[in-house]
Amino acid sequence: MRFPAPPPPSAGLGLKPEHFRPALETEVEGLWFEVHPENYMVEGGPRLAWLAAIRDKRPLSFHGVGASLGGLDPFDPEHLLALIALIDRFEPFQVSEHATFSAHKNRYHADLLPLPRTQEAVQHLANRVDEFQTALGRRIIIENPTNYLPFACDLDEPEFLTDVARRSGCGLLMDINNIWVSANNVGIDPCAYIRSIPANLVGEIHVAGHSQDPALGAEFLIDSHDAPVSEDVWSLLALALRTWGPKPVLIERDGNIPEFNDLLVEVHNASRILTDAREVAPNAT
Amino acid sequence: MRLEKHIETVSEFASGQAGAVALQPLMKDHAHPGQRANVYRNSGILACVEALRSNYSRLARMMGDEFFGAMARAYVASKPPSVRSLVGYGASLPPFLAAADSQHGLPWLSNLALLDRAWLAAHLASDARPLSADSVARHGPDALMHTLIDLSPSARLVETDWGLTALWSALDAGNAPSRETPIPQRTEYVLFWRPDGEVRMRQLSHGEYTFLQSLARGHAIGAACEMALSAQPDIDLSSLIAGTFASGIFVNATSLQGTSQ
Repeated sequence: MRFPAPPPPSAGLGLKPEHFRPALETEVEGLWFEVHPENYMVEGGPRLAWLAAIRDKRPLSFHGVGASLGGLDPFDPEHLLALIALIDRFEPFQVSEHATFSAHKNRYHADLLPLPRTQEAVQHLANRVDEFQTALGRRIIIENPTNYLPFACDLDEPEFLTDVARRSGCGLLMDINNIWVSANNVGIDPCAYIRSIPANLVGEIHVAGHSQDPALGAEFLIDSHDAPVSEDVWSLLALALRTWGPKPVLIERDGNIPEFNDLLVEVHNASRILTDAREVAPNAT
Repeated sequence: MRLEKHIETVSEFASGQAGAVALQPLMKDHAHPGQRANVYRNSGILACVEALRSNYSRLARMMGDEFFGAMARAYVASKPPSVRSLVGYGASLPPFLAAADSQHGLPWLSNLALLDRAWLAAHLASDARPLSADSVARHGPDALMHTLIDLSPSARLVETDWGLTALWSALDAGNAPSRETPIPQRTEYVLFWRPDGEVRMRQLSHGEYTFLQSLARGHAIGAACEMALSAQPDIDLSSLIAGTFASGIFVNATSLQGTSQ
């Protein structure tokens, strides 16, 4: 059975190769998976076979990290073709990318680097998203970055993202952990941030764990995805879901990867918060 | 123009070509970003190091975290990624290690990396159904000698200057032998291929290696047999042919006498 249409808002899990078998065998209702398509840009072999088997049973979303949407280099045609082939094969219900740049002058930085929040950058990113969406033949959603430094800017981040979405027609992937980490690092109000994002633009939500910088401690948080989701981020997720209504919520975990069942505990937690939000805002979409 | 300057500067900082002070004009109130800026350099390096650790997992186990981490950071600085996926990152790690022999003092290290690289290539290669073992029987012995063979796209033939297959297998099984383990200096021939779901590794004789390599280079079975014989005069050709057919490394056979399958 295929799921070309979005599933009802439920909790999903970032799929790691360590968990291919339990991910295929789990019976958890409504569970969906997300992958970085870049990790599947291969000719063949077991990882594509596993993904195909899991996709036969579960909805799948793609979360790209390599497009460098905000960059100045032309889109890498090899990367685009590989992405299109994967979309054709796996029919993800959602394709997302980042409001950042990750390559410059043919060097791939393997990181999500910040753009300045200026009118010039809004127009540039909107043009690039438009070009990318045209190449893929579908709408994408873009993720808010983690803020580490107070760059000079003309717009706050909700304005910046909302303007890009309105000009390009894309939606937004709101990463609640990124909002929390940004609030800590550059001193913004996370609740005001969430209230400034129009609910109808939000297509998906991410939550993840963060860590303290080894040298600077709690004053500087790193979006490390190597720990369980913190209590603060769960609380902020509850606020976000009350504000925007139920949305698909993804648990991301990329380091110190625990047993699959430990991550299912976090999936259940997200599902419970989603249920509570449905009762508060039954008509929100 | 401000956007271009911003991207240029952040990119230079991230790739280590500029210090944190270069970011100062981009900051609010032109404040010095201090130590915090390092996150924009370290995250990318860490992602590349982890990709190398995953692509060279047995090498990493042998070297240990600290030694491998230091080596991997040096490699990232010298050969940063250009492709937008790290799945195959690190193709030139074996020659990088060979060039650094005098620094690490382990002349077999680059050969160990070569084995890991061949495993990865076999792991990621396109899928192909092996030719069934009984298809050899359909050719008469004479026709067989005039048959061209396509090796599986996953097939990788490796020749090493050090006897590493036993060590590689132990590391592959999750063991971590001592770095003091003596490594014999001798030529070994190794085949990696993926006949079904998972990659297999087999040590070959010089004759088997020559046979498969000749087939891969487009010689018919008869010519490949002759080359195998000259490499290894005592090789048993009928068991060589039957054995290689049974291993699932052949995916297509084309008879030069007019029939193909």
